[in-house]
Amino acid sequence: MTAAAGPGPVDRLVDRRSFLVRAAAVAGTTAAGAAALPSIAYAGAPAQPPGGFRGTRGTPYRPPRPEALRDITELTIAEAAWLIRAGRLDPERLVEAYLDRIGVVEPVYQAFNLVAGDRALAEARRLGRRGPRTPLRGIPLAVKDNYWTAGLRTTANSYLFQDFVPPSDATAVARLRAAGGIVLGKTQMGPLATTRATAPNGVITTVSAWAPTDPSVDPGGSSTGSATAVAGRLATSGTGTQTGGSITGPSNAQNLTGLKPTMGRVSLYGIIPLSYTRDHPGPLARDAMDAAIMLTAMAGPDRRDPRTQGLPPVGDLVAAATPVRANRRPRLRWRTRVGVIPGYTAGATPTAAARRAFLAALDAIPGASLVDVPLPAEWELLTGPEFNNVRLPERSEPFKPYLRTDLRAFGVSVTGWLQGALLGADEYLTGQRAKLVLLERVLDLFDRCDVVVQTGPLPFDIIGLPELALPIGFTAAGLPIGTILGAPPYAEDRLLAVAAAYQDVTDWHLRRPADPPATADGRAPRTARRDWRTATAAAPDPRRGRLTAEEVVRRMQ
Amino acid sequence: MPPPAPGTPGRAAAPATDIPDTAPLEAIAVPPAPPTDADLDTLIRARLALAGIDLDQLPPGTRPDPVTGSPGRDTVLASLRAFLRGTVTTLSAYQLPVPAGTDPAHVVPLSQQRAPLLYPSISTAWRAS
Repeated sequence: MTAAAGPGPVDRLVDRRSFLVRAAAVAGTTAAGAAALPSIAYAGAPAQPPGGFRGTRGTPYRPPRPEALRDITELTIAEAAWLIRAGRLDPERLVEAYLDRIGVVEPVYQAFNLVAGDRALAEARRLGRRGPRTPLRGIPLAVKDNYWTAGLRTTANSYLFQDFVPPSDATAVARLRAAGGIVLGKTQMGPLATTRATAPNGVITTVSAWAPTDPSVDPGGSSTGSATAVAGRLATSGTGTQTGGSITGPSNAQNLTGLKPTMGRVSLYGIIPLSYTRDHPGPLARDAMDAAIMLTAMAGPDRRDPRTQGLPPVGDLVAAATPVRANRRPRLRWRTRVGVIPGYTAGATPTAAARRAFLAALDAIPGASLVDVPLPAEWELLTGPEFNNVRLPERSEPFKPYLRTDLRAFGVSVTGWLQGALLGADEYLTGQRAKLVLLERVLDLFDRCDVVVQTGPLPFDIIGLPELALPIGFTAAGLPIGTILGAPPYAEDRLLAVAAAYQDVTDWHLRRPADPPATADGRAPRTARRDWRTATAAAPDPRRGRLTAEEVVRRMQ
Repeated sequence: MPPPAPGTPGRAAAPATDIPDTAPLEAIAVPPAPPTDADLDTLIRARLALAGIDLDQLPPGTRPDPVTGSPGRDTVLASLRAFLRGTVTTLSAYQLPVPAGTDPAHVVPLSQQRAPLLYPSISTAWRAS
């Protein structure tokens, strides 16, 4: 599983400063009426076709580990793809294995809103006979329930959409399916993507796969169900959306590799909006290669979403996530300076210790170097709660018809929608102007480094920059510790290369949670086991706890 | 349209002041009294009503709806007041930065030059030909 380094990552092939120069030039010429339209000048060689796997210099097929052969729900995408391509695994058998496991543990995890078992089996049978030559062929996926799925209810865990059956797939879902992915089910989420997964009235549904008996353990942000499904081996990989940390948060909380791409990399068409300028679709996966495979299928221009058009081409993500060796020693694909912000390793907590070990491991990989970088000026202010609130009118405006007619149908989440309706257009504009200030200052940071560690997702969510979450250790109680790396625009390949090299020298990402105690012998309690071939979630159990409206305001993304 | 004369209904008369006509603008700006809870409640209800949203759809008082979990209208009003006092005040007070050493007389004109961008990361893909 080695590959030549290949061309440089996309971030260094784009002249990111040209916009600022260009803006000044346009300002100077507009008065004379002579400004030309902006155009793209991409300096690199053409990358792979959007959403395609052909021409990759990487290796998206991996021989499976022994433990994954013993239990095929443990296979990564790359491992399952290796078996399917070799004719040693039938997609139908893989779907059946997941359905069997869902029947045992789903009553505890409550990761799904809906399991489309019959439909998934039919798809698997079709794909077993003939399918696209991609690593996603026949791979069962958990899809967050705010992605439209034609013919399957898409509720966003809200009363507002409880009977909504979309007319088509979201673009991202259509692309995953075109690449051979199978929608196994729709996953639980925070109501309208606001908090950890709860019913619309705030009753907690999904638990962390790492603490299934303790609903008070936060399983991460609104993509909770996808995270629990992938971590708990109920699906091979999953999709999420991130507006304020809801891919990176659940990934960190459940020992997964999550990738929030640059704004526009993945189409938002067919995804129920939360905040137009902040919503980012992306994968929650078991390792860097699986995240690369998922994003390769999901990414690319979409005529139905102008935010995806006119961007640099998607890099060769599979190649980026393919480990590189030199003299049998792992090394980084591209020389990479890892920026370390003040306070990242401060303290005596398990998280601080894991961060120190993470940096030490990275520093020991040839091609990596650590550099201290300062936080940009006004960091706390421009990334703080008030400037973060600038996103709120973007959720109020498209929901006005519902706000006028049925406030109670927003359930426990209604306050954020009302806040957005109160923010003035001038304050909203101030926030949009401040975004450019923040972006310029963060780009200055990237003069000193290529990726930067983060202590929270919000700053890069505000300005649409890519982030990758990956596992770096565990607490004494056995809960995962993760961290986040951020990068300049379109540098998903750089992030994947760093994660792949780190995962080549560590095994945190290979650890899986034990089965829930009541099901550890592979059998569910007689009263709990269900047939999930065509089934929706059971009624939420109030004994798991309930978020109040005040808590939702504090936690909402 | 000429400005209305002092004392015109609907417009407060200018307060008497000893500040000379040549004083800088900042010196004659009198900070308004902060709004009371009642002021804000009126503002909130009026603004929402203009958009066709009636807070009375929510349960009265502070008890949430037992079925949907939606909060009582007093709970929501308290949260919205805090939101206005925090977010609107902070955003309104923010002045976009200018280069260090800028002539104080040029600070506001220079700070006006920064453009709003809904999608700042996407903007980096725009290229000069």
